[in-house]
Amino acid sequence: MVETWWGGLLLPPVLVAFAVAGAAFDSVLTARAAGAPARPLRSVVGLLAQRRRRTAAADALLWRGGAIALVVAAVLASAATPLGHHVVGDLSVGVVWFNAMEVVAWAAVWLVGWGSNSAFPLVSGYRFVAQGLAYELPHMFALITAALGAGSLRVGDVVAAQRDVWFVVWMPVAFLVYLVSVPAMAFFRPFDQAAGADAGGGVLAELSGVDRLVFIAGRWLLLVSGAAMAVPLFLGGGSGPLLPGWAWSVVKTAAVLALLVWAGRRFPTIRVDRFQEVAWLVLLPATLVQALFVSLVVVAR
Amino acid sequence: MWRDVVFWACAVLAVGAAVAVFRVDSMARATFALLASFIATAVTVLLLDLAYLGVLVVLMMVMEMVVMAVFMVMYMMNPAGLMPMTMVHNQRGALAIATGVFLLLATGVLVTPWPESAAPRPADPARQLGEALMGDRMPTMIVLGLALFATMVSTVVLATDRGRYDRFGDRLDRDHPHDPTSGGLGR
Amino acid sequence: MDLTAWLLRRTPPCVFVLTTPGGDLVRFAVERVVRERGWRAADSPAEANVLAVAGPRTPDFDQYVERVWESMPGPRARTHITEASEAANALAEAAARMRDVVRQKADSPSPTPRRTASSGSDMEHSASCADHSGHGHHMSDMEMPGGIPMADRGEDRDGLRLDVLHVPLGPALPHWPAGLVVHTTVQGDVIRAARVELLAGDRTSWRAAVPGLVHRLDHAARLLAVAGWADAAATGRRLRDRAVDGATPSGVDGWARRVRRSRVLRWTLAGVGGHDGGDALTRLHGWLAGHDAAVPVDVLPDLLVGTELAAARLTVASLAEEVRAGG
Repeated sequence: MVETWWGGLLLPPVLVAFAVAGAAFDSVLTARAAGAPARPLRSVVGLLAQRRRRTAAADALLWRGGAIALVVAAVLASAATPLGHHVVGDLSVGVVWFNAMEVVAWAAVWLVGWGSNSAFPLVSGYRFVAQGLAYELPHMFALITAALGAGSLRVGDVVAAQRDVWFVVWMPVAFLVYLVSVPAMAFFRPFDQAAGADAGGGVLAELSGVDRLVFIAGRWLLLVSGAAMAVPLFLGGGSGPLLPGWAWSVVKTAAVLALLVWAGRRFPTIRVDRFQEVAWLVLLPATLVQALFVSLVVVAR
Repeated sequence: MWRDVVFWACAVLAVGAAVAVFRVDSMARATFALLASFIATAVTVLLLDLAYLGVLVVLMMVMEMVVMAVFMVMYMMNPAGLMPMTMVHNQRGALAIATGVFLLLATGVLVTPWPESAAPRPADPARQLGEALMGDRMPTMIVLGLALFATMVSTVVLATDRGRYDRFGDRLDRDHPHDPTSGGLGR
Repeated sequence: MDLTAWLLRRTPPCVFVLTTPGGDLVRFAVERVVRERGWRAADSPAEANVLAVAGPRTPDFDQYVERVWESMPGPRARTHITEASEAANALAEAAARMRDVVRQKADSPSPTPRRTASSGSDMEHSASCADHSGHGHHMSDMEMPGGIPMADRGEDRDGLRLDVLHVPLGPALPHWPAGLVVHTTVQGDVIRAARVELLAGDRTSWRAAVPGLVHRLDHAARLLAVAGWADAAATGRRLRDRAVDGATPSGVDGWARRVRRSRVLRWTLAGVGGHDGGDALTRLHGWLAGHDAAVPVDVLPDLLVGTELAAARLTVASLAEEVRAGG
C-alpha cells in the first residue's frame, strides 16, 4: 500500500463522484418507473435555491451539527479504504476505524431527528437507533470475519491475504450480511424507515435547502463508503487482469454500489420492528458460524 | 512538536466539553457534550500510538452515548431544556468530592517516579499494554468477561416485565407469542 | 450574473399535494402531471416549492392550507385546482410563478415560526401540517418558553411512565385519505388513543364517475407507497391514470402478479391492521383480485390503539376504501 499526502485531498472528490453517479443512476431508475424523462441531479439545483428554515424551539446546534457530522464521518470512514494500491492512511486498525466512523451515523441521524423538535423526525431518529441495534452486531462480525481470515485489522493485509482466493469465495455469509448492513447503516432503501414516506420523509421532514442537501449528501457518501469497503474486505481489492489496480477498485466499487441502488428498489421498506428478530436470530448466529468456520480454517492452515 | 499541540488542544477540548455537560440545560446537549469530551480523550490515547484502544473508545462511546441519550430523554421530565433547569445537584458535596479526587490524582501524577527509558517504542504498544495489564492473568480475565456478560443477561432477565410465560402462556404452549409488536419471525 | 435567478430557472418543481374531501379525481390529474413531467412529489412541506390544493373548495379546509403554506420555505407558489382538466395549466403556471425571481424575492416567509401558545408547538405543526386546535385542553395552563407546553405523562404499554403527546395525523399528509384527521395521543411512536374526524365535504359523489378499477389501483398504490415500495406504487399510479381515461390498461395483471409475489411485502404487511379475519395484506390482495370490501370507519380507533406509527399508517392506507363507507 502506498500512502500519499495528496490522497487526503483526492478522497473527498472521488467519494463525491461516486455519490453523484449513484444518485444519477437512482434518479434514472425513478424516472423509468414513472415513465418520465430522467433529469438526474436537477433536485440539487432546487435545494441550492431553496431557503433554509427553522422550526419553533429547534435545537439548531444539534440539528445542523448532526448533518455535518454525517458528512465528515462518511468521508473519514473511507480514509483506510484503498483504491488499488493507494490509500490515505493504511492504519494498523483500519477495519475498526471504518466501523468507528460509520457508527457516527447513529449519533448524526438521531441528532437530526431530535434537533428539529418535530414529531415525525423525532420518531424517525429513534427508528434509526433501533435499526442500528439490529444491524450493528451482524455487521461487526462480518468485518471481524474478514479480519480473521487475514489475521490482521490492517486493510492492506486483508487485501494481501486475498491474493489467491477472494474472501467472498469462502466467506459468502459474511459478505451477504455485509451487503445487507451497508444500506441499513446508510438508512437507504429498503432499510429507509428512518427516512420513510410514512413519516413525511422521516428525519428529512423538516430539512430544506442547503441543510437538506448536506444531509442527503452525507447519506450517499456513507453508502459509497460502505460499498467501497466491500471491495478490499471481500472482493480482492484492486486485483484483476489487464487493468491497473485503481481501475479495478473503481469498477468493483461501482458494481457494488449499482447493485445496492438497484436491489433496494425491488423491495418495500423493511420496518425495524420486523427486521429486529431476523437480525438477532438469523443474521447474528449465521455470522458467528461463519466466523467459527473461518477460525477453524485459519487454525488448520 | 505537533503531538504537543494536538495533545493540548484535545486536553482543553475534553475539559471544556466536560464542563459544558453541567452547564447546558438539555439532556441531548449534555449527552453529546460528554461524547465530545470522550472523543477528545480518545485522540490523546491515539497520540500514545495505542491505535486500537483509541479507535475503540470512539466506537464504543458513540454507541453508548446514543443509547444513553435515548434513556436520559425517556426518563427526564424536561429533556430538551425548554424549562430552565440545572444539571448540578448537591453542589457543596459534589464540589468537595471533586476537589478531593482531583487533588489526589494530581498528587499521584506529580509524585510518581515515572520510569524513563531510552529503549525504542515497541512496534505494537497496544499488545505490550495488554500483556502488561493481563499477562499471565489471561484465564482470570476471560472468566471475568464471561461473568460480566452473564450478570448483564441475568439483570435483564430479572428486570424484564414480560417473560416467556407472559409471551407463550403458562404452559408455554402458544405457537406464536403474545407481543405488542411482532418481531418479524414470530418467535 | 444573478446566481439566484440562474438557480431558480433550473429549480425542478417539487409539489406538495393537499386533497380536499372529494378531491381525489383532481389529485389523480395533479399526480399524473407531476409524474409525467419528471417533477417530484414532496413528502413534507419543507421539501416542497409548489403547493397544489386539489378538489372542491370546502369551508373548514383553509386553515390547513394556510398552515402548510406557512411551513414552506420558499421559493414557493400555490394553486388551487378544482377541475381535473385544469391541472396541467394550473401547475405549469404555478411552476412559472415559483421560478419568478422578482416575486420570490418579494415573498419572504418569516424565517422564524410564530412562537405563541395559540400557534401550538411545531411538534404538532409539522406532524400533520395541520390541526392545532386539538391540544390546548390537554395541557396545563402553564406557559412555557417558546410557547410550547410541557407534555403530559402516562403509563406506557411496558409499565413505564412516559411523556404523552397529542399529534393529529392528517389531513395534510401524503398518501393519506382526503379529509381524514386522526387525533392521536402518542407515547414515542406508540398510539395510546385515537379519535377520528372526517372533514366536511362531498366525499362520495365523484366515485361514480370512474370505474371501480381506478379506486382499487389508487388504494393499492397508496398502500404500496406507505409501505415504502415507491417503484411498485408509481407503476400502480400509471395504470390508474390510464384506467381513468376509460381504457383497461394492459399491464395490470403483470403488476398485480409482481406485487402478490413479493415475499418481503407479504412478510411486512401480514398481521397489520387485523380486523374481521383480514389484515392489510388480505385487503391489498382483495383489491388486486377486484374485490371492494367495506369496513366501517368507526373501527379505525380500535385498530390504531397500541400500534406504532408505521403500522398505523399502513392500517389507514389499507382501509382507504372503507373510510368512504363510514363517511
